[in-house]
Amino acid sequence: MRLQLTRTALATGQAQTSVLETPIALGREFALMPGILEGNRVSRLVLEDAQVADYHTLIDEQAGELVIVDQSGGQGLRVNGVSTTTSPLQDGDHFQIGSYDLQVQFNPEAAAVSDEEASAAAFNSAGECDRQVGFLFPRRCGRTTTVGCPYCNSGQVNNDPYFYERSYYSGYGTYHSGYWGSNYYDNRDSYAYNAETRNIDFTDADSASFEREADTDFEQDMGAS
Amino acid sequence: MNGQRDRPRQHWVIYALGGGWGHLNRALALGRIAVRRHAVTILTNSSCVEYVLERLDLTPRPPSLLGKGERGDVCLEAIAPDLSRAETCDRVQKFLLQTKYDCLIVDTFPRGLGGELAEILPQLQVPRILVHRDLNPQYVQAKGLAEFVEQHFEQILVPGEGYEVPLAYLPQAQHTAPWLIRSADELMPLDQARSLLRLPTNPTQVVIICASGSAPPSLPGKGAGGLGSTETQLFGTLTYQLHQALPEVTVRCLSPQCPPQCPPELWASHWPGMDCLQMADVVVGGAGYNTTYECAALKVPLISFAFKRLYDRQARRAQQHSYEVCSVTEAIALVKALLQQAAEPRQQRQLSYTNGVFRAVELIESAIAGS
Repeated sequence: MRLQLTRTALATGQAQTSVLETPIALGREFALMPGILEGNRVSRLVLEDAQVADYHTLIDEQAGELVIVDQSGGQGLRVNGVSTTTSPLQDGDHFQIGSYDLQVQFNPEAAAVSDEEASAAAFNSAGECDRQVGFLFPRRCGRTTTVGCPYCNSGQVNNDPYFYERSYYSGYGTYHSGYWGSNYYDNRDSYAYNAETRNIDFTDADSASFEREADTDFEQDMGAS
Repeated sequence: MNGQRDRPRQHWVIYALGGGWGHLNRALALGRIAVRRHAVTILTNSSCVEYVLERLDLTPRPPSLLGKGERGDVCLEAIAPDLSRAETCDRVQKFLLQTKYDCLIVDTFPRGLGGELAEILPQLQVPRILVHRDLNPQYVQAKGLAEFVEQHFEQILVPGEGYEVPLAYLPQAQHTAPWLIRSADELMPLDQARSLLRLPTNPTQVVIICASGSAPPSLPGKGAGGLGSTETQLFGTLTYQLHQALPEVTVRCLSPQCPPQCPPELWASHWPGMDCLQMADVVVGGAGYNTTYECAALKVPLISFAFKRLYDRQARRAQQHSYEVCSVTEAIALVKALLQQAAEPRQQRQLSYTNGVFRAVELIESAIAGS
C-alpha cells in the first residue's frame, strides 16, 4: 500500500513529505531498522531527533487494515493525541513521535497537489488565468474562461491526466542532454500546438512514454548486467 | 604511481553487483592494482565468483594476478546470486552502513542494481566514484540518473567507453583507457598458454570462441530464431560447425563449463581468459565489455554477437570494435575471410597496450585527497 507521510517538526513548523510503500519503519537510525519483514522490503524513514528511538514504530497492513505499532518499548507514540502502543490508522490521522507530528494520507496522488495548485483557474486583474499548465512544456495558461479548458474542464480542477505525476519525475523541467525530458524537448516541434486554445496535444505515445513496460524491468533483476 | 607512495593506506569498497562476468572482472582488474597500496573489498553477487575463487586457489597462482602476493588484502564479499531482490538489497545496505571504508566505487549502477543505493548514498560520508560503462539511455531517463549522479558522485570514471556514453558530459567525468585484467607484461607465457589450450606443436591458425551466458540468445531486431536455447549452446554449436568447416584450423571453445553441442576435446577452461585470447588469430564471442576490450588490446579481430541486455548496449560496442554477425553461418563465413587475410602467425607478434586501471587508481586517489 502506498502512503503519503507529511512530517512536521513541531519546534519549527517545517514540513516534509514522503511517499512510501508499506511496511514503513520510522526511527533515528537507518541501519537499526529492519530492511526486510516477511520477505517484503521495508521503507525506512529517518527522524533526526534525540527523543526518537533507533527503531521507533512500524506501519503495516494487518488483516486489510493499516496499523501502527510501537517498537521503542514505550518511548512514546500518540495517535490523534492519545498515547498508545498499537493503533489502526485512517486516512488523515495524525501521530506524534518525539518532536515530530506525522499525517497519513492514503491517496498520495491527490495529496501531492497543494491547496494552491488545486484551486481552479486563477484569473488575474486582466481576466487571464495565471495557472501553470502543461506537463512537458509548462506555461502560463492565459485563458479568459474555464469553458473548454482541459485543465480546469469548466471548473472541475485536476482533470489533467499529467497534473499529478509531476512530483514523481525528478529533473522535471530540465531538458538538456541526458535528462529524461531532452528527447521531448528535441522533438517539441512535433507536438501539436493550437494557438487559439493554447493546448499542446499529447499523443498516446507521449503518455505511454512515461510508463513504458520496459521501464518496470529496471532495478528488478539482480542477475542483470 | 610512485609519487603517491606516502599517502596513508586506505580501504576501498567496490560495488560490483550484476550477473555474469563483466562487473566482477572489471572490479578485479581495478582491485588487484589498487591493492598494492590500499585494502580493497569487492561486493559481488556474480554467479561466476565460485569459479574465480577456485582459479585464485590454483597452485601456482596465475602470475601477478593480484599483485605482489597481497592477495589477502583483496576481499571478495560474495552475496549468493540466488537471493531475492529484497534480501540482496538488504545485505548490500547493511554491509555499506556497517563497514568502515574510505571510498565507495560503484560499478555501472549509480542507484544500485536493485535501487538500494539510492536510499543510503546520502548518508555515506565517504567519497563516491561511479565507474561508467555504457548504459541503456532508457534506464538513464527512467530513473533520472543524470541528476542523481551529478548530486551523489564526486567522480565519474569512464573506462574506455568513449564520449558518447550517457553520463560522459557531466562535469565530474574523467576518461581512462579500458580496464584490463592483464597488462601486456603480465600475460601468461606463450608456451604455458599453448599447453593450456592443448594447441598442436606445428603452427596452425587458432580460433577461440568465448562462450558465456545462460540466457536464451536474442539479438536486437532479430529475436532468437535458430540460435539455440541458450547463448552457451549457440557457441557450442558454432564450435562444432566451425571445426567441421575448417579442419585445418585449431578451434577452441573457452568457457567455465563445456557448452552443449561442443565436443569436449575442443573445450578449454581458464580464467582470466585474456591469457588464452593472446593465442588466437580470430576470436568469436559476445560484445560484452571484457571480451571486446581484451581483443582490442591484443589486436585480435573479434567477431561478435551483440546480445540483448537490459542495461548494456552490446550492439553499440559491437559496431565500434568488432565484426558483428547474427548467425552461425555468417560467423563461419567471416572467420574464413579473416583467417585468409591474416598476414603473419599470430603468436609471434609483440604486444603493447595501455591498461587503464593504473590511471584509474591515480584518479581515485586524487578524488579522495580532494574531498
